Amino acid sequence: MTEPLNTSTFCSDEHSEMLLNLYVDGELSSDEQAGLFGHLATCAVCRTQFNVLLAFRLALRQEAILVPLTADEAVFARIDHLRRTPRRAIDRVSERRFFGGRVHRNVPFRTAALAALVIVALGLALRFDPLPDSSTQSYHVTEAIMDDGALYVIGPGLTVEDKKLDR
Amino acid sequence: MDPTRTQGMPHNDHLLIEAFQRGDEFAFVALYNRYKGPVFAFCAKMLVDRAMAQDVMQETFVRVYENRERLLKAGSFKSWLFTIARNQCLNTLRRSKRHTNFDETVSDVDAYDGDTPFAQLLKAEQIEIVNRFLNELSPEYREVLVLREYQNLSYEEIAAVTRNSVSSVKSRLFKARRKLGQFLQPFLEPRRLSSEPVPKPPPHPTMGRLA
Repeated sequence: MTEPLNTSTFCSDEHSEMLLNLYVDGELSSDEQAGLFGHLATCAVCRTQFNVLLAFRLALRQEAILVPLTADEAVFARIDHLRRTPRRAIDRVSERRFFGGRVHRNVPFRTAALAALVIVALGLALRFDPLPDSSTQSYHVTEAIMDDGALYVIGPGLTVEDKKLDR
Repeated sequence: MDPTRTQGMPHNDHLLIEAFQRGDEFAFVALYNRYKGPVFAFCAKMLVDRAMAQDVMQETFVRVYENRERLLKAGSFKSWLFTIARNQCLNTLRRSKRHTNFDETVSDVDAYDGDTPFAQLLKAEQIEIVNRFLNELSPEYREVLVLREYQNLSYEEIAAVTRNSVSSVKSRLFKARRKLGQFLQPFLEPRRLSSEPVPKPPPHPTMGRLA
């Protein structure tokens, strides 16, 4: 049986390609495997991709990635050094330079003091008036005689008609 | 500290971590011996440079030692360890601003006694092709592929290491493998007749990168 040659690099059925990925990762259920195998039987692109993945897996298992013998010595020498030095809190933020490393110079003490003074002066100049303490707040009472009775204006923000006062 | 004195240590990571936090330094040595290989392999593939990988592996274990109080909060020691290694690798790549300084030194071939020199040569060539592909791949795709293919981590573990969702991991793995297909396909096609044009191998890493 001859099959149509699919010359495109990727399979047009992206879902089946995703199933292929899950299959090589061992994450595909047996129910879904049947569908994938049916697709592989008809899709040359996916078969090639399957071969690529298997070849890649085989190739990477050919390499022995051995830890160099000097590595252990270097790690434990550093840890020994760490144990000997008094422990301090690790402050990774302070290890970083200001402004992503663009400012390299240290700021002189005089400049820092001047900047602090300016900030304090600005703070004093722009400070808000504190709210008055409610326990010591004073009220102003003004009496106004109107045609229909007295009107008391109690500051701030309260007006009471004489008729409504309980006398 | 003697790295060889780890006889009688528990096999469970959690017990080792507890012992290490109680001040048992040999528990740390046991953890180091257990994970130095995987961490080094991960760094070697992420950086495609074994000398840099050794430095990063060293830094990773020093940080583990320094931050041992935080170990119990981490659900899985393996994920936590690879997160540190991964961050160190990304920092190293960022600092050196390199993705293409491909380490062309000969890799250690996992040779069997029966291997002929010719078979070893073929293996070495295959390893070089794989390394060249990894070097061309951008770090975001490289990390998921290496964690899956070399470290055999599950999707959930990769998501924890890379601080991503599982669906994002699947998607990146999918794209990485598509790039792998594009790269490896010319090497897997049968030899054509001499009259037909020979498929050009992908360009050298210094000429461009995938993604």
